[in-house]
Amino acid sequence: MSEVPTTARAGFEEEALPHLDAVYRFALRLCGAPDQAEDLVQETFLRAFRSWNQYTKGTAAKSWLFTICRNVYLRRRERTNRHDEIVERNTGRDGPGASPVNPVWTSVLGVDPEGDFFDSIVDARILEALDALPEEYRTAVVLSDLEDLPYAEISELMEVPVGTVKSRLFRGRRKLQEVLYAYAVEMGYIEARTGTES
Amino acid sequence: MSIIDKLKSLFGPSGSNGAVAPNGDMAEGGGEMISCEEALRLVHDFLDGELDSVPAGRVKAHFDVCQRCYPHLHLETAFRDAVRRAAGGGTAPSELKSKVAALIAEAEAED
Repeated sequence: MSEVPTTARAGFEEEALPHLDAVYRFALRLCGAPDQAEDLVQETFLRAFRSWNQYTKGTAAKSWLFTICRNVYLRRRERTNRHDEIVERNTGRDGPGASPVNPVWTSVLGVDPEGDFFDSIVDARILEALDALPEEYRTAVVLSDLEDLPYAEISELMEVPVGTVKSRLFRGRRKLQEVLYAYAVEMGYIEARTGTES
Repeated sequence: MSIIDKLKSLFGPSGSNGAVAPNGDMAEGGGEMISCEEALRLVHDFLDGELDSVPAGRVKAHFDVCQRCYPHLHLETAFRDAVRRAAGGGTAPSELKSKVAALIAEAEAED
């Protein structure tokens, strides 16, 4: 099993190592803390190298590394007994099958309908809100919105159907928007809309 | 490619002229204009480049002319740009890169 061809390192350096920055960004969003993220990245690449003979050359190396990274993270999280809220129970109420009208769209009507207030929010506050999302939502949002992975790759990586990926993206983005909107109101970047909201 | 670049390539110059497109109009490139409800239901698939049931041109055609829907598309874009600005594009510390390289060399030596 530990039989690694002598050319493995060269192949690994060519195909896997260029994704180190992306894996680090992903690990940082999973862990929140840079030191933990660095540790996670090291374990990810070590495991990836040891499994390099199972990787099919020329396929989606970045997704493969993300998969290893997330699996290591989830195993560690299990060991430390830190669980995010169970997100799958909330099905049916606010998934993509629900009304497409986003509550934030309604709230900003007549005030800032195009959402320019997002530009005023400092990076640290956005990161804080992103990191506060349950892992299942956060991972979907990070992989789609930051790493531009297609739904099919996220589906494979998270081992859930594409419909579940879409549902997690939908809920994650909506939750994030609600938190950022509330923050923008609190900071006075946008006026709270008074009156009826549908 | 940033979201703005992606949108520019999708939309070209600003398209909204204030008209709310009634159902039954012809969309650019043929086919009936999709409804506001359908356009809003598809907004994420459209921005993610993941439309499968409706051609992107038909969704684009709706947002191009619908004053009611266009702001929602713009808000979703502003949101994604903000997330990308805050969390995208960072690089790993150089010491980490050195550590990973050393780990790989060590693992190779063990085999």
